[in-house]
Amino acid sequence: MISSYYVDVDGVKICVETNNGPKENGTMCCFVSAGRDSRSYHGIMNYLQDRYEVICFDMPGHGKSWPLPGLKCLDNYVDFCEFIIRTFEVLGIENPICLGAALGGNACFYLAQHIPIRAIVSMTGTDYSPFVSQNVIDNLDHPYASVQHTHLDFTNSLIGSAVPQENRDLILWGVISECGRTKKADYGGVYNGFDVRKDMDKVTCPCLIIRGGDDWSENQQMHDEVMARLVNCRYLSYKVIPGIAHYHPTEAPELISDVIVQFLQEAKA
Amino acid sequence: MSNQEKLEKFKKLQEMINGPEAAEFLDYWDGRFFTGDMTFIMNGVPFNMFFYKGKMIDVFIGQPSNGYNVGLSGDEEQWNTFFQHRNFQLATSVKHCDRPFTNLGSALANRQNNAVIAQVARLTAKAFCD
Repeated sequence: MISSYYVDVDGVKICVETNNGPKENGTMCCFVSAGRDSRSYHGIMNYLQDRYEVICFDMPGHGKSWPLPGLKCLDNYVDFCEFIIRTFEVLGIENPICLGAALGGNACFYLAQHIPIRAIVSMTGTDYSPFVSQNVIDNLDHPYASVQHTHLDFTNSLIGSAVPQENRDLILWGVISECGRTKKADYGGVYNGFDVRKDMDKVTCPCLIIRGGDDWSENQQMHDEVMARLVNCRYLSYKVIPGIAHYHPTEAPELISDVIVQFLQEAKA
Repeated sequence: MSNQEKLEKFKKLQEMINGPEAAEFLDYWDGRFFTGDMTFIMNGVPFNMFFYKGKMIDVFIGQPSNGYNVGLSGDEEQWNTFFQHRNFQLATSVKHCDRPFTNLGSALANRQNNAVIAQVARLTAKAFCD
């Protein structure tokens, strides 16, 4: 059963959710896509509750976590990822299995470059997200533009063709309940301009990279380039899953969980 | 297809938006909040639609008298590509599309009305091709 509690990280109340699963096989720590919260991983948490401890904490200003002082969110990838590392320290988590989707998938690469990680699962993640125009970013938290409405079609377009209605609804509810300021910090600050390419040779843990077959926002070249830079990773697996697109943990939690468990067994992680 | 034939397709679109597609357009895609001009330029020719609270009042060939409010501009190839995949977000993404549509009007106005424009564009594809 999923339960939640708060911890203090750098003076900020951070909401942590856990499936209270067994720790013997390792602890999975999950990171969400831009603007979203830990509900994205409830399906995986429930599905794996008898096999793995699965934890997801909301970053400052996300879900039920407090924002930073001054009503701010972390708005660059170094601060964002270093906050994750300090949260690991507060929670006493060592050598976790890191799962991340989109922005969270990017963060996995940074983490694997800087602290001991048992394995990473990067779903639609990349080591390099080029910067887009400032207009696009500013309009994410504009007094005359509601992100809940302006991004409905964008989110809709990134849900796979085989996703059941219940899962589709949760993803859409994710955008309908999004906070513009959080989205701007995540997408405009953390995701766009993310660049950890030069340290990809420091990633040594097993890596699973998953791409949704219906995700128009990615292309094969992007993944090929990421994998080419993972020159020291002990075990590398790449899966393209048809019928899903960009929100893997919410689109197909059982299928994704099975793929992850199989990868961990193959990698002996 | 001649410009006159295209205009006929837009008139078919008008019937769709005000008829069988109205409920979804107004309620789900927030069309009920849209009043003003929306222009789709095809190969340099502007097809201008005027809406009042999501109802398409008029469509004609020409620029809106107050300048472009929101809309898209593309050549024949860009529109044909969009009519095939019908993914509005891909067709307007400067990051993911080699030849994205050009937005008409301000970036803010297009962002505010993103869902409405997306649905009108998809229904235009339907009116032209289905």
